[in-house]
Amino acid sequence: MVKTTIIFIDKATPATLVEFKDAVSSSILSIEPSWSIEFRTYRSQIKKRITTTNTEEENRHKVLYSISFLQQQRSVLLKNGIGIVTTTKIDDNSRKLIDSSSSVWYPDSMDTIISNKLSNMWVQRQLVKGDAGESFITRDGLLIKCCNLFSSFGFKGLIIELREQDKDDDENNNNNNNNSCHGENFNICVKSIIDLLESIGITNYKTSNEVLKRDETTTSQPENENTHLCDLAYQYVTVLD
Amino acid sequence: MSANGTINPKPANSGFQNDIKTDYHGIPSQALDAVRMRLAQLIHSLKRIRDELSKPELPQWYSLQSQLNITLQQLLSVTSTLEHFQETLDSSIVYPLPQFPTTSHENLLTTLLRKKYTPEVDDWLKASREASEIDVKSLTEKKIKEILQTDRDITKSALEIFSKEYEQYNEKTGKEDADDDSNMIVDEEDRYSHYKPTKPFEVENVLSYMYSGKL
Amino acid sequence: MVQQLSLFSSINDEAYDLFLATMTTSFGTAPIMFANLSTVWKPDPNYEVAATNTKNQLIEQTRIKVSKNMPMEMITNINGKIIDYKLLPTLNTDTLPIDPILIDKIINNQLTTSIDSVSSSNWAFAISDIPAAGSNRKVSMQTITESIILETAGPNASLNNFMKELYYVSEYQYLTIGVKFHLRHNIIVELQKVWDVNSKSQVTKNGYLIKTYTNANKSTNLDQINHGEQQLLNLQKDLQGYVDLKIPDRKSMDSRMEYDNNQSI
Repeated sequence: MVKTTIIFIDKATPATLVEFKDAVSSSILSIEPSWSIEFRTYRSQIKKRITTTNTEEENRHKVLYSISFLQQQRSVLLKNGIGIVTTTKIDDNSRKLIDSSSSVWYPDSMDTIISNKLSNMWVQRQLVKGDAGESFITRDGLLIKCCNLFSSFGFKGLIIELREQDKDDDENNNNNNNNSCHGENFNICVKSIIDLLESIGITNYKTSNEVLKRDETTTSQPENENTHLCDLAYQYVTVLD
Repeated sequence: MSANGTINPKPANSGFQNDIKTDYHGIPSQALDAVRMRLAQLIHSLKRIRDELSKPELPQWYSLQSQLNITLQQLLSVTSTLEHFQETLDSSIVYPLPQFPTTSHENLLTTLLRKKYTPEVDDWLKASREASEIDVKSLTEKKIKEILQTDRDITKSALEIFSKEYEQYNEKTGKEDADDDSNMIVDEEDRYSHYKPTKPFEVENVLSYMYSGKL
Repeated sequence: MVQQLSLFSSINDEAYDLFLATMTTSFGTAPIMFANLSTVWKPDPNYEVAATNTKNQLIEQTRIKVSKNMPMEMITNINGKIIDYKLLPTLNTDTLPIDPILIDKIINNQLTTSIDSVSSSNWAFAISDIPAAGSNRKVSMQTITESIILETAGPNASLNNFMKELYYVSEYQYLTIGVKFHLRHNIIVELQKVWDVNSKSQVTKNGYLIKTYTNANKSTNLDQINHGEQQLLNLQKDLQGYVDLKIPDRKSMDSRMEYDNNQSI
């Protein structure tokens, strides 16, 4: 599976992004396409008819997260450790839904459904946006994505996503094989970025490299890019919430 | 020379020819006008069908059919008009007036006076002769007439059968008596029921189930 | 968001062959078989939901339809048979032509099958409004909001458990098997047989539901809607006297909860 780590610096200023890019610039190999992200939290508006004593548990269950990866046209909904990946794009896989008359074409985002059709159950609590983020690959074969995040109250912080490069990409880049960020090396690469942050005076940050719990009891489904997207969304939620 | 029928044509080049009064008395204007009017109608209808057919979306079959019917009527009207004035038209001879600018409009003149078919008309005639599968060259005129007569007879008897059947069909919906017919009527309805689907259930019942689970 | 324009009818079982022949020769398209599973979910009765949102807009509680394709391979009694339109009449049974345990497994993500298209967790998640009102309407017009679910992940991840997190519980499921024709101008004609999974009985007993429809993107695209309506009406005219397509009572296409049919709006 593809390893990722999210670093969130909420004590940053909008200029921290520039400082970070300066610090990392000497090791950049290539510039990658820009990216955007939206992070929403919803709180449920509904009450249990029979109240239980464990209110803390109840409250924890009340929040629904939605993370939209706009370039991939995918978004992940997370609640209580379960994630679903949704899309607004009809691809070969979802075509079967149309061929079988299960779908009516022109899908909307899940956020549209929640805010239009289920707004009596869910109220949006916050919206954090990162627009036109930058991404680049370092000489170590580490994909770095960084972006300033804003909420309706203004600047929210700097988010950095670190990801090991897919194997296929790496084979095309044979000269970098020795010090690639694969497997065990990935943690070393993450450490080097954190060192870099500390060298520019950033000591207060949150990181997450957790993944959603896998289920051993049900038939294990092969892991794919969608399950990885859920893991990534989970990491975003961990640092942003 | 008739005073009424005399018109002063306006030639391209003026001159002494202006003084010559042209005699239109001999022109079979009634016949020509009748044919011209019917041809204009026919051309209009044919153009309309052609335009309809060249649209990206075909018209409904019944509107096409009614247009075709009109066109056939008009074609029939053209042929009957031509037949009606056959004698007059056959004996008319066309020639240009002296005022006609023969040199500058030679092409127009030769086209107007042409008696031979244009090549494409020849092709159409040839194609329809071939389509009739009658070898005009090897058959005598009498034989051809016989073939045409047989054709007409078949058409006539087909039309008779059609109109008889149509009447019977109409009787089914309208009339009541005649024991002999009633058997046949039941048959008709029986056949009818084979292709006309029946409603096995109310659409709403199935939809209610799909949308709200009501069985 | 999609505006679905539709007209409906029904035909008896015996009329199937001729109807297919009529469609095939009249419109020059071949029938295509399809099957899907629809799972319908209602708000969890254990929870109380306000009738309005924070902006004080009235939001009525509504069912959610989550559906997916059903591969023909999963339908019983068709082993080895060629999967084409001739198959549908042979399924004219009163009992559900699929093992209900399988459906349960699909919803709970416990399926052990090699059939790719089932094991993939793709679902269409849709909420439909009651069709637009109006006595001079010529076709039914219904707004459907839909998203596509690609995957569920996490411990005990399944459609069932995710719906539980949205405070929705399973209400009923139905299986649809049918043939459809794709006509020009994006008009689709479907013949459907529908089985209720719980009672295992056929809802379309003795016949087929005929659904003719077209989907227009977004409610604002008036041109597309008008064009679609015109095309549906043309089809209605073409089939007139043979199969009479009509607008169903809009109340029968209402998926809202606790809606009393006697209180018309």
